Amino acid sequence: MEIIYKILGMYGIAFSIAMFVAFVIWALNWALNELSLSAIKEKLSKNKNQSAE
Amino acid sequence: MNIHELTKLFQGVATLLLSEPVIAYTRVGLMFLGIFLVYLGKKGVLEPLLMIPMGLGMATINAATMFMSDGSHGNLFVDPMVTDIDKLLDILQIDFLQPIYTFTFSNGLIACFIFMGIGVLLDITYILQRPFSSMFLAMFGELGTFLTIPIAMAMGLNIKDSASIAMVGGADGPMVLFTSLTLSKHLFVPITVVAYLYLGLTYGGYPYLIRLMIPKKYRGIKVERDKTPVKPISAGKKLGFAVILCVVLSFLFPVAAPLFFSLFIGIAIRESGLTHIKEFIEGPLLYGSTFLLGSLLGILCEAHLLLNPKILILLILGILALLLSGIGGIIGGYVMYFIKKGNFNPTVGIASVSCVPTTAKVAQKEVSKVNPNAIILPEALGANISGVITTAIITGVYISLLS
Repeated sequence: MEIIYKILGMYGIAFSIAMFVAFVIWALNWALNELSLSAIKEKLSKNKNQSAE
Repeated sequence: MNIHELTKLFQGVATLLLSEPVIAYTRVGLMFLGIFLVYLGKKGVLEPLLMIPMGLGMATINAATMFMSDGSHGNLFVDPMVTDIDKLLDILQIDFLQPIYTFTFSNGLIACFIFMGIGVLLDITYILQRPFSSMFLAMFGELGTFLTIPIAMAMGLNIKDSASIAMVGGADGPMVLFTSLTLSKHLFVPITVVAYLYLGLTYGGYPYLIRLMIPKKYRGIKVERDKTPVKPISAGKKLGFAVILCVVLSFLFPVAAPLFFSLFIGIAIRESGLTHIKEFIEGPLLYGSTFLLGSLLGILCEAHLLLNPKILILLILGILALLLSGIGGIIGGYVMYFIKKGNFNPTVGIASVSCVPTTAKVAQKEVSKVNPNAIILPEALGANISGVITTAIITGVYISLLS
């Protein structure tokens, strides 16, 4: 029984790390898309156009 | 010419006749098996890049046994069991493949070279577009990597040996080599040979598993994708991802850092546009390492090394690990099918078993047979590449907790 718990524990650790890696990828992707200079410029020009209208 | 001179002249035959019957029969059997592997490699049933040098090595080493100066039986190729430093220095000057074994094989360098080659061939766009679903699926495709451990322990192996053979379920040759070298050095030859023999079978065996577990109506599902065009991911971004993931994973598991570094440096070279280095890694380094790996694995298949009573258990466990991982991957595919309310083809699940890119190709091929309009390759490659990363993570977990 002890070995089953150990394996479940190792699977849990590996699963958590895998999901953490997925989160890192998602967060980086989001940051690079939303916080890049070109994205900020695009948003500013959109806001300008909206206020001009 | 007397019998003594004849024995001295034809040492291969003499050692065969003078050795114990079990050794003699195994030698003859391995010679034929080696020739058969060359034939299967040439026919394309098994991976020729690996099987032709491996088969020839296996046949030759069992033919080329001779009398050593102390009267024992040996060869002039390699001695994997030498541990004494003085003896090793002597052997390095005698056995012609010993330098390659000692300086590239027994320290895992060759596994890292192959991993660099895999890195150069990977396009991480697919995982960047759907990280959560790819990683989630990949963990299902590791079912055999975990479930084989208690089965192996029930069959009499200790936990380190069990974890090493269970790594076959991850379907990554370099990872099996790396884990078995660290956790069970005495069994790494049979474990690695079993792994590479079986990995060649995924291409032929997994289609049957898909047909058995996934009915035609599910296999032919065409995934409806978002109509908005997907933003292309620049090479600079992919390079950034590779660098950050390498540092994060190495920080978490320093014991598996050589593997992470090798994989991500391959990706980094690919994305940074260093054409000459990329060509070197994907050409001479990858092919050269695969050739040396195949040759050395074959040469290590000497009769007395493979006459380990555990070999039959390893043969059963290796195929079981791959089978369980395939089943796990397909279960993962079904889970994603229910999570995405039917807009997912469960066949993608088999691609989470990280035999890059074989399992992704197998998945697409089986889907195309049922519905030629259904394209699942982007999802399959995402799961496939994630599988490489999850297998490296599991290597880190096993080495950290079990060594």
